[in-house]
Amino acid sequence: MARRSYYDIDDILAGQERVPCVLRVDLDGLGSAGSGGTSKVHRNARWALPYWMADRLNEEDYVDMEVSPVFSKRANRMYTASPESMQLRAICQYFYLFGLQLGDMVPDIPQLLRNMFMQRIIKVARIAQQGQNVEALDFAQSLDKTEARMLKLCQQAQSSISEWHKNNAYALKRAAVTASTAG
Amino acid sequence: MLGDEAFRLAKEAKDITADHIPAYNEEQVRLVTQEARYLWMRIEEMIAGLNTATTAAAAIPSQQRDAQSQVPGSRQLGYSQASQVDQQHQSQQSTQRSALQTEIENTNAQTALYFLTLNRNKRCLLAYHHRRAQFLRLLLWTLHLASSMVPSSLSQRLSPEEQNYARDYARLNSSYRDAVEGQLCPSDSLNWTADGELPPRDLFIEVRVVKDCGEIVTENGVVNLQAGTQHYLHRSDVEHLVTIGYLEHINPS
Repeated sequence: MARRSYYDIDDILAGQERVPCVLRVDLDGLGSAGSGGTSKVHRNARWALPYWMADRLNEEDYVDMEVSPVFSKRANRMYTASPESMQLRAICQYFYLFGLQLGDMVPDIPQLLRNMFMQRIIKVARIAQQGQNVEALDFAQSLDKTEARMLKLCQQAQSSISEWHKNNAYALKRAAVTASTAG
Repeated sequence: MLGDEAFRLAKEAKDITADHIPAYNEEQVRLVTQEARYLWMRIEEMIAGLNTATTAAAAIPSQQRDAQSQVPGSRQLGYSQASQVDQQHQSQQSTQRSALQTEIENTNAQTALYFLTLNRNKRCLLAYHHRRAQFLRLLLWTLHLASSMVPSSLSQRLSPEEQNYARDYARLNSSYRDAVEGQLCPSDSLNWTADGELPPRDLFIEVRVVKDCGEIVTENGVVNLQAGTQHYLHRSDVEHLVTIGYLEHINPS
């Protein structure tokens, strides 16, 4: 079980993704922000709960958790067929992290994630080196958070190389913190 | 929904980057702790209610037995009638029992839900503060542990507790440094806030003064750092001023 650190913010944010559930009991406090959480949801109702809630309630049999539509069978087939054209940011911003959390329940998901990541990351590295063009921008828009971070790292590495070419690699730099907040 | 306030805190924690920190959201923290306290109160109420409910549920079969003991007189009426009365009693008792059991199950689930949310709130709070403290520590090391050098625009965004944390952290490190200085480098002064990972290229560097620093003492005497002047100095003397931004490193390229 690849459970990240307790303090990991990304893990917390990924766990907030909703999954559809069927309630087996009446539950209170599941209303949306507007109603102030005093609405009661009755048994046998379908409701989308955040994953951190649904997972534990499912263990106690208070709800029946179903697989999120992000990883439905049809979606999984699409992912294996053409991973590079998927708009992950539209589908789920924390696609990989959320998938890892769901992977405890659905054993096919980790393998699927791995294949997808392996194929997409090659493209990410390629567009980091290419610089700006239309295709790169479109693809960069479709990345989820994990991939976006990888892209940024690749781009930083690229700029470090060009700095080194200019013989600027060892210049002492002003710390970023002080630069942005100087009065 | 439960846990939404905590989620907002987690999102704010995500906003913290290497060079930017949003203001300490005291209001949000207060909301989350308020929700946590309310949940705990409800949990205690519900568990107290559960105790009375389970004793009530256990009491139902004994009522059934009393009802049956009153029925034998009707056995003379005829078997079917008696069984009808019996069935009525039984269905009454079973609906009563199942209603009570549903109630108990609901309360159990509700308690579990509140408990989960409570832990979630706790986790978000801890992660938020942990991330901010991490940022502060990094900031202090880049400022060479001079907690007074924190730009005022930044310190505005910190809560008073965080400012105290920054000061105490710097002080703790300095006192440790003083304690071991004699042992680690007997003849020199120990500067362990210098970047230990990047080996220096040159002994001397060319710098231009951006902000007036006054005078610094170097090995070759006193140097007056006035804004706009350029100097060729020992790297170790001026490195920290470059990091803070008072000097600018000019690279001969």
